[in-house]
Amino acid sequence: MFEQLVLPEIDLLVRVARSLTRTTADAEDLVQETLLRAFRSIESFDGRYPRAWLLTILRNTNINLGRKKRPGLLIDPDSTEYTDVLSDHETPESRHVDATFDATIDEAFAALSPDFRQIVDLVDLHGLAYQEAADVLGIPVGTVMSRLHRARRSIRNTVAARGLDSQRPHTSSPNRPLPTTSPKWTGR
Amino acid sequence: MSLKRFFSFGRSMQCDAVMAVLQSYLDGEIDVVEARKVARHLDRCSDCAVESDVFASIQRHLAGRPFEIDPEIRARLESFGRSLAHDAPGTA
Repeated sequence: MFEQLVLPEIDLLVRVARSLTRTTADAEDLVQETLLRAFRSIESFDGRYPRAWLLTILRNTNINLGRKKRPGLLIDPDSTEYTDVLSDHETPESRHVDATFDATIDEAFAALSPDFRQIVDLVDLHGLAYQEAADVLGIPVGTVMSRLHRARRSIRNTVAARGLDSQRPHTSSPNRPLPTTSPKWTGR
Repeated sequence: MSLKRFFSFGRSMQCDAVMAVLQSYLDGEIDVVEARKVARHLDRCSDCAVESDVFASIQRHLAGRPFEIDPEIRARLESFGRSLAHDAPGTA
């Protein structure tokens, strides 16, 4: 069961570990220790929701290893306002709208507090569901939603402040599909 | 309240409700019934549809940032994982 359930998730574990640690080497150590602990507890695992089970082991392992948080993650993002990047920079008119749009997103993302960037990385870059991100960070799912939505809203506000939102191609159609066929998180 | 204001008020409330769940909708984190309601609203309301497109574009860009896993690290971890499974007592 270990090989079938755990080994296919190594990429996910590395991605998430990289978001939790300071260096690639730390991330590799964390995943290795997580694999060891998962192997030791596989007999007591009921086989349901292996990703949630693995991510919880990863989180607990990270805590037990006593890793220092990534620089900047010690700041409580819920008590500290992140910095909006406002439009005090001039955008050269010759630049293509898409390139400017993408560059603005990158800039606004970089201006977020580290904890907000971490949530965006876990959900948008690494594809975790809200509940999975909550499991790995040990915070309520409502906090994940709050931070994630505020982070993206901040980016969106920066885009709007630069007048780029109205220049995006409008893709609305009468037959607009649902964004996904099913929720990423199916509950436990 | 005039008829125009009444309908305007009703529309804005619906838009507010859609905006409140838009990001969860785009993430696939709301149930199917609610998602269909949001989709129907986006088909009818161009303002909300534009907002949805902007958020979707932002999320696509954030999701598409490069992230490469070092193949050597992946190979080492897979080898370690397989060694756990194969070398454990009783699994030979």
